[in-house]
Amino acid sequence: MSQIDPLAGGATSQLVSVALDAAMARHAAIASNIANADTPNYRPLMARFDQLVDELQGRVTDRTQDAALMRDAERMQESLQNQPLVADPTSRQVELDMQMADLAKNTLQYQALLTAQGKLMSISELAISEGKM
Amino acid sequence: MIDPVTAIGAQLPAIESAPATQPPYTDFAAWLAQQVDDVNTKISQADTQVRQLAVGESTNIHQVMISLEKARMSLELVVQVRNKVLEAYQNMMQMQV
Amino acid sequence: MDISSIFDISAAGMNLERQRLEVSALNLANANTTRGADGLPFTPLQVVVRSGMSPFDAVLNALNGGASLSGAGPIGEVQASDVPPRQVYEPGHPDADANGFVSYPGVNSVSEMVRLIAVTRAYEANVRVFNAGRAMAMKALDIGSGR
Repeated sequence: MSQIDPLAGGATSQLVSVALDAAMARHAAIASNIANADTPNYRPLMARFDQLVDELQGRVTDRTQDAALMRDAERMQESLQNQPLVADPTSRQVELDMQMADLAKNTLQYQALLTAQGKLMSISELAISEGKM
Repeated sequence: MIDPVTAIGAQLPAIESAPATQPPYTDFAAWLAQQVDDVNTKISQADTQVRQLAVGESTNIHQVMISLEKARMSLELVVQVRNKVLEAYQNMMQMQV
Repeated sequence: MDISSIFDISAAGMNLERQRLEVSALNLANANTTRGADGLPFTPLQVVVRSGMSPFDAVLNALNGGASLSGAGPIGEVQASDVPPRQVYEPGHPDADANGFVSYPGVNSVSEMVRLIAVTRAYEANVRVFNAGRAMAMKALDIGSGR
């Protein structure tokens, strides 16, 4: 009857984990850019796979493709660990207010993902504990 | 100047007379099965929305939170109903005939 | 409509105001530049703003259909302004022409200063919108807590 696996180890947890890693990498890039705002000849950085949308968009609804989705997510997670930051091709100079806006966006995304994942897991916890906790 | 209390009062009869969308269940087992399916749907929907949030597909944060909360409350309802039914059954089994 | 398209719109607004600030600063700094690298007086610049998503119907449809609005923010193009230079009679000036007139750039310092005030207020307004959006989204995370 149930096709979903709310316990950790399913595709959803993997996707959230990758997204959280990407958010941390993005934070590191923003922190570097803000710290080096006045450094001469500094090229702004960005996180690799900055938008997971292109890689994984449109594939999350169809649950029969979950195995391939998990493999790709794992691959992305590994490459995020190896070389998380690259030079940003679209900007030649650090624009402080844009970096602050990105920081706010990124922090919100991180917190939203953590909260959502926590709630999903507490649903499983409810089922496991039979509502007696 | 509109009197707020009167304005709300004028709308109440319309709300009360809204027809029920489903006939009341006479079979408890059927109702319970329906609720369990409902829980599954809600959890599945919330799970998909969390995935969409993770990969950055267009989704509202408040919509995700509301779906998660609805799923949790549906599950809680089913679990508590099941507990009460079990408790009632156990009580009955302990009755001296 | 997701939250990041709201942030993108405010970010585009802030970007535009910063562009206008840069252009005003450049114009004010060069208000008396009679000869540039090409030998001509400085040409004042202006920022021409257009909407990122047009026509207007597309924006309405996007809002009604719940589609994403990112890209709908304003886009500014920096163009040369065709205000004619001011002619001032200064016969002893090295850049004076045959009749003794010097061409100063057609920069109206007063209107540039007024534009600076407007730019500051507009920037502040965009920042407020951004912060309000962020506060709303953070509050949305509180749904269902406090159990």
